[in-house]
Amino acid sequence: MSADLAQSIDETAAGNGVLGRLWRSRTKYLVGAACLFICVIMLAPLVASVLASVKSTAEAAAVPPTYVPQSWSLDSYLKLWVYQAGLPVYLLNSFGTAFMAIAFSLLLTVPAGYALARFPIPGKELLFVFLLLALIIPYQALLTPIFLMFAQLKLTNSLVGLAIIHTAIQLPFSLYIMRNAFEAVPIELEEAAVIDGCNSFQVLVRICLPSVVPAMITVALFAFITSWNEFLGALVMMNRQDSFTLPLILAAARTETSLGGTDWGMLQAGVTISIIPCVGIYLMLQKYYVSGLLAGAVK
Amino acid sequence: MNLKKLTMGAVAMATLLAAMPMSAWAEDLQMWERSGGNAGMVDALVAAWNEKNPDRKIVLTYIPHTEMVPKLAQSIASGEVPDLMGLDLIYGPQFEAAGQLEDITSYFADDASIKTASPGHMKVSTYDGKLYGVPLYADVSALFWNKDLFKKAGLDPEVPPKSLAEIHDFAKKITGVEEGAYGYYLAGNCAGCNIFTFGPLIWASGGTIEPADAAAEPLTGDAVPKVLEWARMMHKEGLINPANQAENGETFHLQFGSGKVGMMGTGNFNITLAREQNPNMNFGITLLPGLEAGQTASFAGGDIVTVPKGSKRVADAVDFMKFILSDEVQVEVYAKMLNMTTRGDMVDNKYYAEEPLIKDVAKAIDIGVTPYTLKFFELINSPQGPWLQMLQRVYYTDDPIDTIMADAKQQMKDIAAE
Repeated sequence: MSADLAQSIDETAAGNGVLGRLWRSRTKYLVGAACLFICVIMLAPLVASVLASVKSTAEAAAVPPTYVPQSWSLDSYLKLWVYQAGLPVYLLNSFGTAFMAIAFSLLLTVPAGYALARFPIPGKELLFVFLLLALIIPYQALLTPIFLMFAQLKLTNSLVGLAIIHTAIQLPFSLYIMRNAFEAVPIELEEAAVIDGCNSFQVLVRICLPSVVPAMITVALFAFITSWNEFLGALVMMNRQDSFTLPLILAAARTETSLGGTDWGMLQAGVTISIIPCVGIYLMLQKYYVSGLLAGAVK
Repeated sequence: MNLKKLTMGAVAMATLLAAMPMSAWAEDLQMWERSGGNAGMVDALVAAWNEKNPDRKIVLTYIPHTEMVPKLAQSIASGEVPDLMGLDLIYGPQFEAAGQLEDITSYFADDASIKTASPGHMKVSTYDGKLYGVPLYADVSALFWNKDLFKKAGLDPEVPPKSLAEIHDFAKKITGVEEGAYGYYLAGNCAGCNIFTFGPLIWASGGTIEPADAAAEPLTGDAVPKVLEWARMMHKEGLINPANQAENGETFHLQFGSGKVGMMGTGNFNITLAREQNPNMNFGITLLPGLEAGQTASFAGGDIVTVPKGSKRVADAVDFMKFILSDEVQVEVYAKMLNMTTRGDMVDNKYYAEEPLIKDVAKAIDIGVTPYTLKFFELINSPQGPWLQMLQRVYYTDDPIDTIMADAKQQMKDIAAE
């Protein structure tokens, strides 16, 4: 894309002569080099942590650090795999919570966003702003009261309870996204559907939903990443080893001695493992971002 | 459409997980232990108990240790407390003073095993004459010396230093005897490492560090400035690796095993660790000395196990405490794993007999000092606290020792008076 951009800029600047062609190809390299530079900067920490995760424990903690592992070892991964209840349990807990958070977010924000965008609700704008207000209160401040309430409802130590919290953290932002997406759907499309005999539920399902898929994907992606990385809520809610999520276990696993000794290899192995699903989900969902789906729909 | 399947799948998985019943805990005892402690030891103790008590098993959960205090406060507030809790012994008085632990004095009224339990642990488990906990495991500090480097330096590898002056003389010979070898080790940016290994040098020489209460004087005794002068001399003469200035505790446990340190104060945990790191290295262990030959001290650290306020299974929890103090567990679990026994009278056992190094460390239990203060973190452990600041000025600046000590005393008094 950036190459196209460079090309179009060049064409206006240098014309199409021999000199122009030369200039064009040189700029292309320049843009390429700049892109490469940015990529390297972005990827360096990832590469460093993956490399550190395959070092032996002693080497991972060595001062000064080695850049490339002197000896390859999967010890850190093995240690993490069998840590306490075992990594699979924690992965399952984290995935379970994240998928529930996605489901809850979509189930709540799709109808709410549609209603706020389309229905003539009195004081709609006020209501919308009121719902967004939750963004300005840090959820950390609410955790203790939520915990005390959840303790009475028997929702502590349960993935459902944690998913509810993760959904609540993500809700205002998701609602904002969904409402804006529904507002972008041309009203003419819906009018046409109504003329064809759809009721408002059918309009939502048949006309609007397919056109807000990118927004739904965004909501799902953010819900997943928030839930997957969230530490404090999980720490507060979960009291038992077998209900811990991945971030909790990584925090517990990395401390090796009471004097602050850190098992860097194990920590980096945990970081690497926890990155994979985020990247995977992103790659899986990004193809649904179809830009310009509605362009020309009502010409 | 593919997306529909994906969504359906996500919803299906979510419902499935939501419907999944959480396992039944009714019969089990819940135990929390901080992470970063001696997890192997605690795992083994719980496993031994579970084998003997299948009808009241303990489910063990490690809590990230920096979150232990808020987590416990919150669980007490909501009534969802674990039945047993292992915590860093140094924080015992703080929890006891705050009324967050169950008084178990009456359960141990006629129990002989606590009479010989580690004195440092018992001291911090007692508040206002009431007992709140018993030792879970012990970490003691001692002086490790590398026999290979001693030999290379022309020293007798079987004779450890007996005073700070001897440490200095030996370190001088060892430094530079091979590439990267230094005589002694002190961590430059780790308050905990220093109270564990440098504190005993002061205690052995007859000095004190933290004030016991708001009225008491910190850093007393003529020995304190002398020990600090000694530490400055060790740095000035280059007998300590300058790179140690950055040590914030994260690699402290790996230093001795590197084979580049002639002598170092460290803990019993370092025995197995050093062997794993460097199986061919020969080393010995002796007590940390003071200014005069014959003076010795150690930091008795580790964890105590307590019952948080509100537990409904106090009697069962106390049974576990008695279980870990019993002769059988002391020998067959603690000693067998080559960990410290938590009772001084259990040191003579068949496992230690085969492992002289452990026996050498175990001597430290009886001379172990455990600071008793409600403000240990602020006074000693905090990276911004007066203890570490004082040491850093001693190690790395030319400020007069008197000034440094006067500043530290004032800061400690201010903290104690808060």
